[in-house]
Amino acid sequence: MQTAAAKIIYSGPVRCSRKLTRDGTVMVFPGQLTDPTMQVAWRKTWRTHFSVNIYDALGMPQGTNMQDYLLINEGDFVSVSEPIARRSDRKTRTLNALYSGRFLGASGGNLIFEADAEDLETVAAGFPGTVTEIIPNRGAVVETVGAYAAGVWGNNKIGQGILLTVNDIAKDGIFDSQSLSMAMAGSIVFANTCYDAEVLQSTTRLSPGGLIFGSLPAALLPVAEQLPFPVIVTDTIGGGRISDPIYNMLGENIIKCAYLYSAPARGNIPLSAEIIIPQEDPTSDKNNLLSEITVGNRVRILDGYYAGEIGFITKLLPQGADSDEETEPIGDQVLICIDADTTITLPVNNIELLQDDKK
Amino acid sequence: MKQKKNEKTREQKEETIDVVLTIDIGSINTRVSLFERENGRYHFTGTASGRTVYSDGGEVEYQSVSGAVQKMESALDRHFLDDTGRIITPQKLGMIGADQVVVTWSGGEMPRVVLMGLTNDASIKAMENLMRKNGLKATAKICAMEGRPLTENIGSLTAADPDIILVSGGTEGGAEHALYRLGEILLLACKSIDEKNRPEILYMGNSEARGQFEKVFHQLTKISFCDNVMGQKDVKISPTTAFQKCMLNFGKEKNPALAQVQKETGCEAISGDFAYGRCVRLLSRLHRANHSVLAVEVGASRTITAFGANLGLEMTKFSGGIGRTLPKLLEHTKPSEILPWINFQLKESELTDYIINKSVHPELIPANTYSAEIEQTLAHFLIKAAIEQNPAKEQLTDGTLGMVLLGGAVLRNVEDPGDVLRIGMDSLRPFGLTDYYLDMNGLASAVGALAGVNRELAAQVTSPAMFLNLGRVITPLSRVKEGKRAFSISLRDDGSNIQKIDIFQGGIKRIPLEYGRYYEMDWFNVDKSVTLPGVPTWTSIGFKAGCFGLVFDMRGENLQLPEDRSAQIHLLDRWRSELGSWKGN
Repeated sequence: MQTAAAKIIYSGPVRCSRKLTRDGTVMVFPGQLTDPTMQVAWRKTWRTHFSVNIYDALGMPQGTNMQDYLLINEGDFVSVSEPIARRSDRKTRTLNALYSGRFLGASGGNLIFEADAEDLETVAAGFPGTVTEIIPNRGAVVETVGAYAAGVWGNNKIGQGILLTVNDIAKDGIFDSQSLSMAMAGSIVFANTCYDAEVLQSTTRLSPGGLIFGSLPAALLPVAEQLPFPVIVTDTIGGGRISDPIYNMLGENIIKCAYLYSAPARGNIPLSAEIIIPQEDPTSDKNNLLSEITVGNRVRILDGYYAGEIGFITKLLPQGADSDEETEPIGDQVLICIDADTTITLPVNNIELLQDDKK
Repeated sequence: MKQKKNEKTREQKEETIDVVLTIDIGSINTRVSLFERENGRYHFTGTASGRTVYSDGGEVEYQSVSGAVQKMESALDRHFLDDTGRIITPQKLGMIGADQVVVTWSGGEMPRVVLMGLTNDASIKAMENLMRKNGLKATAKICAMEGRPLTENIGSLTAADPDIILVSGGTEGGAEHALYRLGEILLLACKSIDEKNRPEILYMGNSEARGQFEKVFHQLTKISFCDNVMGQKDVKISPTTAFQKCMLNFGKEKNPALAQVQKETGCEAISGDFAYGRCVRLLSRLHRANHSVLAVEVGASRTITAFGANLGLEMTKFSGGIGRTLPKLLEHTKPSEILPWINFQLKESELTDYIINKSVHPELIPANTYSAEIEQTLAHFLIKAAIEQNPAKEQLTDGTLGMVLLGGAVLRNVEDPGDVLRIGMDSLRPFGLTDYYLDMNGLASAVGALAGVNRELAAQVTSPAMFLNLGRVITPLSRVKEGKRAFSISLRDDGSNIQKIDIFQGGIKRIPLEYGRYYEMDWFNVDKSVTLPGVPTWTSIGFKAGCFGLVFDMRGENLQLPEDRSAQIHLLDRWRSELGSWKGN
C-alpha cells in the first residue's frame, strides 16, 4: 500500500485531496476558501429506527387504510409534537410525534421513523486554501501555495500554530522535560524525537498547537494518540532524527503558521500525516464576511440542523447588536430566510456567500 | 442445448489460444505470469512483478499493470504492450501480445456483505458457504426466523453499511410470503441509506418471489438475480458466478486499473481470493482421497488459510498481513510471545518499532539477516493467528492433512527454502505425514483464475510439480523419553539401495535425499507410545523426494522454548542447523 512518506515541497503549489472512501455529500464548491476545520465531505447514517402504531394511536381497527389519515409523506422530517396523523370522524384524535425524525414508510400498521444521524465518515480541509476541484460525491482537492511535507504517522487530529523548534544541538534535539516551556502554548513544536511518555503527556498542560517528531518509539504512540492536539512523525517509528530534507523545510519556515493534518487509513486510502505551511495565511487578509454580504444575498448554511440549506439574508446583526451588558457578547450574526415560514439567526461564520452573489 | 453449444464454442476458442497472461493486482505488488502452448501442451514460461501504484485517493492505477508487464517484456525480450501501454490482444506475428488475459485482484478493501435469509440452518448457511469460497465473512445477518422487530432489523442492516446484500430463502415451490417480509426490511433500509450508497442486491431465493423483488427494487438500487442457492433444477446463472459478478463490480469501483484492463482486453476478472480457493479445491481433487490440502498465503494485507478436501473448501482470512495491516497481529499476539522465537537479542520495543515501521513502509524488503529473521518470525505468528481462526484446524492433528502449500512474498523471498519449511513446521505443527510445497512463482491464484476460462491450461498446469517440493515431514505423537529410539525406518531408492535409520526422540532428524528421485520407506520397531496419525506403519510408503528429503520432527507435541533467553537462542539455532539448508544439504 502506498504511503505518503517522503513527499516534500519546499515552496510551490500544495495540492491535497480530501476524499471519502465511499460516496457521500460534498459540502464545498470550486473556488471556495477553506479553513482548517471546514468539513469538505461527509457520509452519514441513521442510528435509531423506531415505529409508531397508527391503529393503536388513533383507536382504529386493524386493516383500515391509513393513507387517508396520514399528514406526512415518505421522506418528511417531523419534529417533536408535530402532527403525524389525524382522525376527524366521530372521534377526533391526533397522533403527534414523540421524537424528531424522518418518516421512512409504513409496514403493517406501523409507521417507521429514523432518527439520530451519525457520521460514518467525514473529511476536513485541514488548512486554509482554495477548493480547486470537486471529486464527485467523494470530496475535493484543496490547494494553497507554500511548503509541504508528508510524514509516516499521525494521531488523527488537526491543528495549527506558529512553528517553533526545540532542536537543541546539545540535547541531540530530544524532546525532554527541559523542552517544556510556556512558549509552546499555541505553537507547533518540532524536535528529533521523544523517549519519555511522561514528558509527552505533560505537554497537554501547555496547550501546544501540535508536535512534530522525526521519530517516536512505538511504545509512545498510544500516548500520542490520546493527546488532544496533533502529533506527526515525519520519518520513522523508533529512534532517530528528522531527515535533512524535512528538517530544512521546517527550518526555513520557523515562526510561520503551520497546519498539521492527519487522518487514519480508511479502505484503500493510506493514513495521512501532513504538514502544510502556506506562504501567506489566506485567512489573515480575508475580509470580514459581514462586510461582504448585504441584505438579499443568497447564502449556504454550513453546519447544524439546517446544514446545506440555501437562504436569503434578511437582516445583518453585527456583533453586540442584540447583547446587553449582562450577557456575553455574541459575534456577528445574520437573519436568514430559508422559506416562507422559516427564518433563523445564525453566526456569520456558519454561512458562506454563494459564488454568484460575490462582489 | 444452449449450454452444450457454449461449451463447444469455448473449446474451439481455447484451441486458438497459445499465449496467456495472468495479472494479479495485489496491495503491494502486481504480478504477471505467462503461460504458453507448445506442441499442443501449455507450460508456465515466467513471471514478473512491479509495484502497485495508487492515486492520492487510494485507487489502484493502470500503471501498476503496465509496469509489471513492462518488466516481463524486458525479462523475456518480447512485446506485450502497444505504444500507449495497452496490452495487445490477440497475439500478432512476431510473438507480440497475448491471446488471453486473465486478471485477479487480491488484498485491499473487501466488500461488506449482509446476508438476509429465512432460516439460519438453511438459507443463511447456504449463503455462508458461498461466502467461504471467497474467504469472506458476513458483516451482518438478518434471519426472518429470529423474529426480531422490524426496526431492529433495519437498524442492523444500515449500521453494517453494506456494499452487497445477498437475499435468499425458500426452496423452489416453498416459502414465498416470508420472503416478502425480508423484502420489506430491505426496502425500508434502502430508503434509509443515501441513494448513492445503496448496496447492490443479489437475489438467490425462491424464483417465485423474483418478479416482485425486481419490480420493487430495480428503481431503488442495482439488483441482480441467480439460481436459488438452496438448489434449482435448471441451472442458468449459478450463485457462485453471480456473486463473483457482484465482487467484480465492487473490485472495479475500488480498482480503476481492473476496469481499464478489462475494457481494453475484454479479459475475465475474478477476485484473487476466490481464484486461490478454487486452486486449493483443484489440488484437493488431485490429492489422495479423504486427505486434505492446506494452503497458506501470507499476503501484504491479509493471511489466508484454506483447507481443501474432496473438492470442498474451508477458507478463512486473517485481517493481518505482512504489510500495512501488520499491527493487527499485535491485537492477537503479544510482542513478548513473538520475541522468544527470534534467534538474536532484541528488545520488545525494537520489535514493536519494526512492526509499525513495516506497516508504514510495507514495500520495503529486509536488508539484512536480522530484519529477515524478524519478518520470518512475524510470518510464523501470522500463520499461527490465521490458522486458529479456521474452523477446519483440527485437520492438523487428526492425520488427514497430506499437503501444505505455503505462499506469499515474505515466504518466497527467503534466502533458503529451509526457512520456509521451518516456518511451516513451527507455526502449523501438523501431526502425521505431510508434504510441504512452496508456491515459488505465486501461481496458485493464476491457476485458479484460469480454471474458469481456460480449462485445458488449468488441467495441464495444475499439479504439485508447479510448486517447489520442500520435502516430506513426519511428525509423530510420542511419549518416548528424549534421546531414546522412537522407531526405525528403512529407505530404498529406485536403484534398490537400502539404508536403515533409527529415529530418536528430540529435535529434528533430516535425511537428505536426491531431489526428484523416488523412494520407498518401511517402518520397524515402532515404540508402543508412538502414534503417527493417519500414517499406515504396516505398509511401505512411496514418495518423490523434495529439497529437504525426509524430515522427522521429533520435538514433541508442544513446541516450548526454555525461559532463559540464551537457551532459547541456542535451541532455535540447534533446530535450524538440524534442518540445515537446501544448498548445504
